[in-house]
Amino acid sequence: MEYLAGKYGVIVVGAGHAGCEAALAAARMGCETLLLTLNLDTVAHMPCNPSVGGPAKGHLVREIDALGGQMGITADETSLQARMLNTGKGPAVHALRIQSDKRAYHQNMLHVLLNQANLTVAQGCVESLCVENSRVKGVLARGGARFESESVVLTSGTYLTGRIIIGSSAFAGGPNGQMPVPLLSESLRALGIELGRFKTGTPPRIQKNSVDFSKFIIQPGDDRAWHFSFLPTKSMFWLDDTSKQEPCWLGYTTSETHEIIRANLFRAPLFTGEIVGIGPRYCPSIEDKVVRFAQREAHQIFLEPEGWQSEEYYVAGLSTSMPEEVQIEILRSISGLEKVNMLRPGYAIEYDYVKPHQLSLCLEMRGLNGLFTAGQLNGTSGYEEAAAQGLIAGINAALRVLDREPFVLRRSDGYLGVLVDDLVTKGIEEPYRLLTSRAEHRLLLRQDNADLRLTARGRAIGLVDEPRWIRYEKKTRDLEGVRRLWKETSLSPLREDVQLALSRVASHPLRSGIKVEELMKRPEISLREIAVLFPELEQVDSEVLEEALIDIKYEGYIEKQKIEVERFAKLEDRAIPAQLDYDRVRGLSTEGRQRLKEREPVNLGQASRITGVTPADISVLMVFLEQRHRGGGGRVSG
Amino acid sequence: MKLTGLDDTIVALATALGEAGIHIIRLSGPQSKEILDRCFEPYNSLRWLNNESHTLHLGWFGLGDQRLDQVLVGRMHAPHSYTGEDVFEINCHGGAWVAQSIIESCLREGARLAEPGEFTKRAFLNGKLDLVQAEAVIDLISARTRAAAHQALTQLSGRLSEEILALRDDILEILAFIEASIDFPEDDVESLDWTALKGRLEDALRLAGELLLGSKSGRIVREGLTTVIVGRPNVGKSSLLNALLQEERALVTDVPGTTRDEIREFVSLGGILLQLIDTAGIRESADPVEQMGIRRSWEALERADLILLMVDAGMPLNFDEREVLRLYGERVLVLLNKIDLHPQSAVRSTEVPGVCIPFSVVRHEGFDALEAELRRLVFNEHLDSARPLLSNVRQIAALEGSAVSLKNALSALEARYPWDILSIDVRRALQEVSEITGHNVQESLLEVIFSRFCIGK
Repeated sequence: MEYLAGKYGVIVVGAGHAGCEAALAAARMGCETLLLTLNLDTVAHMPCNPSVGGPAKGHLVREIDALGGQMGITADETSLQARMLNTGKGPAVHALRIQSDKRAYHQNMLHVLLNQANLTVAQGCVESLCVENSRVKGVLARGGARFESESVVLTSGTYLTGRIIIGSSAFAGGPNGQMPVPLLSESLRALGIELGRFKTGTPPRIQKNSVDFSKFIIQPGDDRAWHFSFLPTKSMFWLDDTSKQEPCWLGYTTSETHEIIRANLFRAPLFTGEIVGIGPRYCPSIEDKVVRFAQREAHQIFLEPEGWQSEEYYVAGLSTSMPEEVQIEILRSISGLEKVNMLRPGYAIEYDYVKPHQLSLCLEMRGLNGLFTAGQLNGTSGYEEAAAQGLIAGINAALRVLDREPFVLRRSDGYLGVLVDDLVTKGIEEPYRLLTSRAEHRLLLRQDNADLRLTARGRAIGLVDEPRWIRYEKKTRDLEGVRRLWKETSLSPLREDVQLALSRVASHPLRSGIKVEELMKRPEISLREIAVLFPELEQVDSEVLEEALIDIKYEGYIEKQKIEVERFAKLEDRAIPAQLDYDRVRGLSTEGRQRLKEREPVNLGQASRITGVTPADISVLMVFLEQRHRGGGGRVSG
Repeated sequence: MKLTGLDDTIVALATALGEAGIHIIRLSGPQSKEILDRCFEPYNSLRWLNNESHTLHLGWFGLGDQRLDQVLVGRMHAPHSYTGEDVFEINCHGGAWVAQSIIESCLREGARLAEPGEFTKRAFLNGKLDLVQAEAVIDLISARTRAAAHQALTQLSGRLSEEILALRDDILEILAFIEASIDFPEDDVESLDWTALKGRLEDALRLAGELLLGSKSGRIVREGLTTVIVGRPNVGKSSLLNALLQEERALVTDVPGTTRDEIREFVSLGGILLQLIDTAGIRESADPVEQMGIRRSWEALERADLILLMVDAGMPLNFDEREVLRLYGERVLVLLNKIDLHPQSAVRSTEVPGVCIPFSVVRHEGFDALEAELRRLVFNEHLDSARPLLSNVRQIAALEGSAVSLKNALSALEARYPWDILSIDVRRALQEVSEITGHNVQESLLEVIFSRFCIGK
């Protein structure tokens, strides 16, 4: 029996990483928000790796944080260990990765949700959307509850018509033993939304006390206490004592492992045709790796703790959908795991996703006002990609209710912009993972300057609160001061401390006076050499100093990228009117016209990135828009 | 896809190339003045420095020993110009190669080769053309683009396109190594150390350099058109060669097949440098020494830019001559020799698909016609504006850009810059070369990373 269960400004369906960010953003921006989840016990659940961050993903988490999102804080507070990756490869690609306590992460997030003003959390299984005249009116849950809202964010992850595959056994299910959502897919299709089917997988989990860790190489956390958040945070487990971090463990598969896999390929769902969904190339199963890289004698595996002093370990690198007994055999063929007890088998999951080219850059379904989709539902993989989209969708869902301008980030603003633009403009063929190589202005989009790039934007939309804003303003002031000091100070060759510092890193001694900024451009000079020369900067946060150093050291390249961004902006600034009838634009190539009709880009920059749209198409479009602007565009021709 | 800027500076030939004595190169955009400041040496520098619009300036294009030609530069400042931007028009008279070199200098100084119809597009966007002309602008863009589409990589000779693809693959692999190690730091991926990376970059740079040296227009400018003179024995080939060289170089006798070695000589005809290869006559022969010469002849024909087929006006075409015409028709100029002895030619013009020039080496007749035909053929084939020359210049500019970026990457490497910085230059090099091959950089990069490296922690 259908009944009206409540009216809200924004409704978020699904409380995974996307849903949590979406709901928190909308509520923090002042909208009455409802967050519906299938199961309160799996809010912000991590069904795969117990870790957050890494290249590009860590950048995203910093950006989410800079805008006032939650993921960075929760990951920091539940951190088991933190490592900055890629430190030898340059400032643009430094990437923080934090192992988190899976349960603590869930509890921390649930606590934040339940204590957030304007936010109601409830358990419920949404089965269909209520739509009138191409406008969303609310959602209908199992049991007849109807929740009304003109802004709905769908973040249902891999649950849509989810199907679990382990060996020859296949059954309807969501991740990690959860229930699937069978009916929502049909409701979406009925609204004309195009769905696709993807596959992903996860490795088995094993019992700690059945592992011989002496056969593995220890992977400790860094000596420095890293955090995602620009706010002060601490791990609830190791506080700031880096020596207390939980290690991970590195081991290798053996030739025996590979033989077992080869001998059982005939039972591998990946090769028997059991799996039809498209899997990600960057996250292959172990059987796939053994087949494709047959010459390799060993593949890495990492044992990662699922929690603080956890009894359960995640076996990274061993994602598989082989039959359970084969999985046990595979595990036991690895040195140190001879007697291992498998707690949970790995599995493959197939699920429906919404083809994201149907969305706008606000992640709103084009032609269906008020419906936003985010996260794995849009065909991405990864908690971070999900959270990032959730944040963008939540912000825009709230802005719609508040009747304000949408919030769109450009590719040059951040990885958030790259992610959304890739999904919407380019479309996807496999589960999408963000990579730093997808960003064209990587040197500008560093993880260290995410706050400088985005916090003011977050402030403008009402997401950045006072404490964060005060810290941001102080940082920008300090940074300005340090930059000025370094730009204006010269060092004399008579200064012994300078010559000493240089000799320590085998840098040429000074023969004449030199500007500090010139000295900093020497490749062998790092912050350490400079810092000792400026005792007055001792009080300044080391992150500020690093930031200033990077800006000066790589000035030439940074300036070049800034010029590129300006060029890029000129096309982005040329808006294409909504509902432009491309059939009336003469001179477009056939494929270009078809793609433009299908993708409906909002500006020339976006149009130019659509596959199949040529530079000549853009020129033609430019002339057409100018013609229209001058009032002559009404003529139909050709 | 390359994003064409809206207000960068563009350059192109404004006149149709051919026999015209004067070529005009048009430069439009905000940097055009800067570019000329660096390449143009006016006789009256005070007048030039007055910065007055709508003035003409005589001077040298190219500074110091880089002087290319005496040119007349017309300047028109924004907004009072064809495009509405700062426009400079360089009038030069040193022939097509000079025009091309001027364009290349402008490219090197930061201009970009104009897209098809781009001057007109800018004129329209800047309000210089009225609405009625918009349709015409669109037609121009799409028509020119269709024409340019034929200039794709497939138009290049098989070997050249293979080499460009090889260069692109090399750069792509270097980038893949860098990006795989950055985006998958904990995966067990093969990596390159500093020395190996340096070696790979140097190899790629060498290959790019070789390609540039061997690029058609570069080669023609430097080495001339390779030109083969063929004809049946004793038709007068060596006499022609000697006439061209105005000295006795090849052995001239009445015994068929005495010209057994290839002779290479350079001669400038109508402003075009020809690298002449005089070859043994094309004729089946049992004499092994001569056979070698004959085989070389056919090989030389394969490679030649231009073939001068000399036939005897007194004899009908034989099988070999027909073969040459059939196989290399568009590159062949037929010289109908001994026309003084046979005013009624035995060769019918319908048998010759291309041009047939009545000729007499002995009487020195037909040389002017040959010169004119040569210019027409060469300019039309290689130099017609918006068509092959430009696509050539475009490809050369892209290759040069790629080489410059590779050099930058090497300097960054030498200076011990980290990989994220290096990747900027390497990616740029890849983008430039992909302009020629038409590949999507991002897609190919991921493809290589996922096929070459075992990713998936």
